[in-house]
Amino acid sequence: MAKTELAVVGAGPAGLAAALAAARAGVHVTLVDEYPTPGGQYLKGASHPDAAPPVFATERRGRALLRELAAMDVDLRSETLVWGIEIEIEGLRLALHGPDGSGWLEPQAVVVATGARELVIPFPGWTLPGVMTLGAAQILTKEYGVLPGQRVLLAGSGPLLLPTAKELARRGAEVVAALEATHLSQWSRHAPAVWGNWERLREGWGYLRAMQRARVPYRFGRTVVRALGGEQLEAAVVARLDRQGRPIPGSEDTVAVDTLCLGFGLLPNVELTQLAGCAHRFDPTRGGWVPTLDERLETSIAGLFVAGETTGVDGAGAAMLEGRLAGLAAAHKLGRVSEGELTRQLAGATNTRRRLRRFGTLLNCLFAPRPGLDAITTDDTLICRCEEVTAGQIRAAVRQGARELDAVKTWTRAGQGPCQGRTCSPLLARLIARETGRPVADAGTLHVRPPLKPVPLGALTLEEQP
Amino acid sequence: MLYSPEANDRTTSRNGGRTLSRQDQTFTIQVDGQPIPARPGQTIAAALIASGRRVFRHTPNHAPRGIFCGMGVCFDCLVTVDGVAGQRACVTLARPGMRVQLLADAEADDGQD
Amino acid sequence: MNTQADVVVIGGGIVGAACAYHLCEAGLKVHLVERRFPASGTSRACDGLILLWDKMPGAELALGQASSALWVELAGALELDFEYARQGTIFLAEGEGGMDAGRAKAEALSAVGVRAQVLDGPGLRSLEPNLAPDIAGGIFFPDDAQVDARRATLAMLSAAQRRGLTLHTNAEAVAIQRAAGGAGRIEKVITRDGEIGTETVVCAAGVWSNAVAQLVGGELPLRPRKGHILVTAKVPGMVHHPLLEGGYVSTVQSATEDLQVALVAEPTASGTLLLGSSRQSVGFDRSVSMTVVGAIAARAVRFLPALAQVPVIRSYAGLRPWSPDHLPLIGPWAQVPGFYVAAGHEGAGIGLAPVTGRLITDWITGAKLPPFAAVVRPDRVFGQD
Repeated sequence: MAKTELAVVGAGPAGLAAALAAARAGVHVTLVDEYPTPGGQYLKGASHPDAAPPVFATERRGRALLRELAAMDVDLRSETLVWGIEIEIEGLRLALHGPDGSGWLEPQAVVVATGARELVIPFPGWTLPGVMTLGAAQILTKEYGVLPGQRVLLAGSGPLLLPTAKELARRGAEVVAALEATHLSQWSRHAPAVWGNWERLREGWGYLRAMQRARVPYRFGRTVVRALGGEQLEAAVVARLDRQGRPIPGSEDTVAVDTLCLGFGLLPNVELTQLAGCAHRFDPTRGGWVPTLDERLETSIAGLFVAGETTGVDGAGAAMLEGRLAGLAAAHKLGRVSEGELTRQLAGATNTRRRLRRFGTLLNCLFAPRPGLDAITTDDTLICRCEEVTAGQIRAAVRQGARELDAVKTWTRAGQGPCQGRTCSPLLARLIARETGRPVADAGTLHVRPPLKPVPLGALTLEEQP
Repeated sequence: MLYSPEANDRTTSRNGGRTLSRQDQTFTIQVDGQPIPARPGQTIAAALIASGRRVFRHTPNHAPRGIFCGMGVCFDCLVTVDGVAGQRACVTLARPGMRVQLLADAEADDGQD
Repeated sequence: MNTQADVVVIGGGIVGAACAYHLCEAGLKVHLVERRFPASGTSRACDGLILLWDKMPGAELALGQASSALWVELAGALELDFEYARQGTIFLAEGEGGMDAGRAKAEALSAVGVRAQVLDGPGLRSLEPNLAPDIAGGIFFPDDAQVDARRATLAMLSAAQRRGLTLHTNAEAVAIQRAAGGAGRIEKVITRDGEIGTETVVCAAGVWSNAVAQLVGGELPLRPRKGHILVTAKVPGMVHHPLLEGGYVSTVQSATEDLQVALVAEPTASGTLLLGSSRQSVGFDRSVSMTVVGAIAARAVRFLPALAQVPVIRSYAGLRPWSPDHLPLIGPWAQVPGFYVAAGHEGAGIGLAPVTGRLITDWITGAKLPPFAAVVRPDRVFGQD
């Protein structure tokens, strides 16, 4: 059983910041990351020479973290998955699986910085090759220099539409349009939250200008309601939406595209904290289910801290700030940082955290998919991609009495595939809420059990392999 | 080909604290018996898409699937790598000599050899 | 919801479903109350095997044989498919000692009409080529079958609904009202979602049946015996029959629990493999233990080395309702007229569900009971703690 002082799970902006803050305080840190290279989703491709130069301070800070990682003595384990966690009287232990095999890691403290994943509201044809998330398009272009297709349409809601469109256009794709589901007139209500968040505003404006220069139309009150094609995407049907997100009958228009990039916001990846048994609460202003934390970012389990989008979706700036604080809080727990110093750091960050949280809340509320959008999910639309369960089957199960996620899973097999319900569970919750008339939170969450993602059977014996 | 022009002259790639031993030469991997180019640090999915292949598998109901989330969450991009089924193409690095099969899962081979 | 029923079944797992189905078939007006959703308890956390070879010759085996025959009927009669398959199962003997035990079992069972075929090493591997080459042999029991337990529960409930069952989900039974007086007959079942008037209650609440018995002032000596199952990615053709290791291997003795693990590898219709099994007494906790998962994985890789690279996509734990003599409690409880028990099936709940439903129906309708009914009477162990 390998030991370490601090295990940081996830090497995105929050994880990097936490690992480095703790390492600077003299803590021995093991940074575990599932992906081949660190940086998470935000810093994809940041180290490549053909990456666009960072325009905004947040991006510059993120890249600086990567450079600092290279210089600090942090034990980075890439391509390594944390697939289990056990809380014992003696302490915590994590089950890891990576290129060197599988084994336990026994840390004295843990910072969970597992980020967030994208929400897509499904419609017929959304499983066709060529239809992907905004994140997938960003990864392919920024990290691997590969275009996902030639003629691209983007649709969804929220700030990720813009940088994705910009990157695709920059790399030579024909970007037909970026479709934002909300109406511009719905934005002004949230204006007060912008106060103080000038950098975010400049960022948004910068992306709009970039799209203008690339002649990429940015349209409001529209979304894709159907994807057409045989073996791959060939065309998308676009409809105009009313202010509730409902498609307006007769407004449909078909556009020939081979690539569709979708995203309706982010959902915190809380599977590890759920498996650990931390308390969680449902907060739509944070993106859904989030762990309950004190002001030191500690969960209901002593020694287990959370930072970044896993605490609630607030963007990379908040992630890095929380990461630094969580790293310091963990270092304090390990006796390397004094109570006075930690208190000072937390106090000094309060205003910034509040400001960033206000802006994050603005984005999460403004761009949350409105109930009217559910109309695009017809009965024949697949909800569980893994097990090919349709919305109609799920609605029928709910009508017969399945009121919680576990019930729908048992009734229909939705959520029983290898993605373990990550893609479909928010959609199941929406469907249940719609059919029952109850709040989304009442549908609960899927019961999380190890392995957190599929691992080879041999790895479960947790014997170190040579 | 779906490479963007800027990517062609990439010469460095860092991996946090470790420097990759540098071979910036393109290598090949086998996909259903056909050689396709790949680069160090590229995932199987990126190499497949760059070579024009976007259909990675078919479901038991014969529906085509490719890359969806791109970040290892959705498990749509499953391919068989060196005889081992169910590998996520989007988070698995391509390595020289790798053999990838895009045949429909659960239909083609009969267990392991 | 205020209504009147001939029978109220408490519990929507496979046993409750079987009771409801048979009672409805017999023309009774039945309501079933389930505190969460159908199969939400052990019925969705088990392997779905219908075994004969693990039953003691005598009443227990007769019970099993009757139920197996009923399963064949149900596979034809129920409208919804539940992946009933009768491939038989194979008892694996790791070494010669296991082979001796296996041969003895085969002889004893053959003598009472359960078909068994002794397999030496090559014979075993001709049926199951992926087994490790050093496994001594096995016994093939062609009459064993399997179902998808979850689907079977839903199929029975659905069929019962077509035959008049009223199903109440999210309706935990919180009280059973009885008429005043010492031997007060039952008057109604009170749930979180309303009341149902009835004089007859069937307690089919699985491992939680004691809580229901307490509603009528009684105690059932049922205890939870936890089991774990791993589910692999689809590997069609890896294993052709459910494989079961004979005997248990006591692997881990920790301070708080003793763990027994014995391989069970069951192929499903979709091509996944269910891997078990484990037994522990750790109360009602259903969390998955990585120690147990590791022990099952080790056993599975020992017998089927090719599985080492196969991804495990999920795991779950279920609670078997253990009874002191390992036999279920099926029938009336004399102290409370109208109260019937159908619980305590431990690891045989799926296999024995149909005969349980039939017995309960025979008891309630006053039909002639088969001889084995006596050995599962709840009164045989009631009262002692």
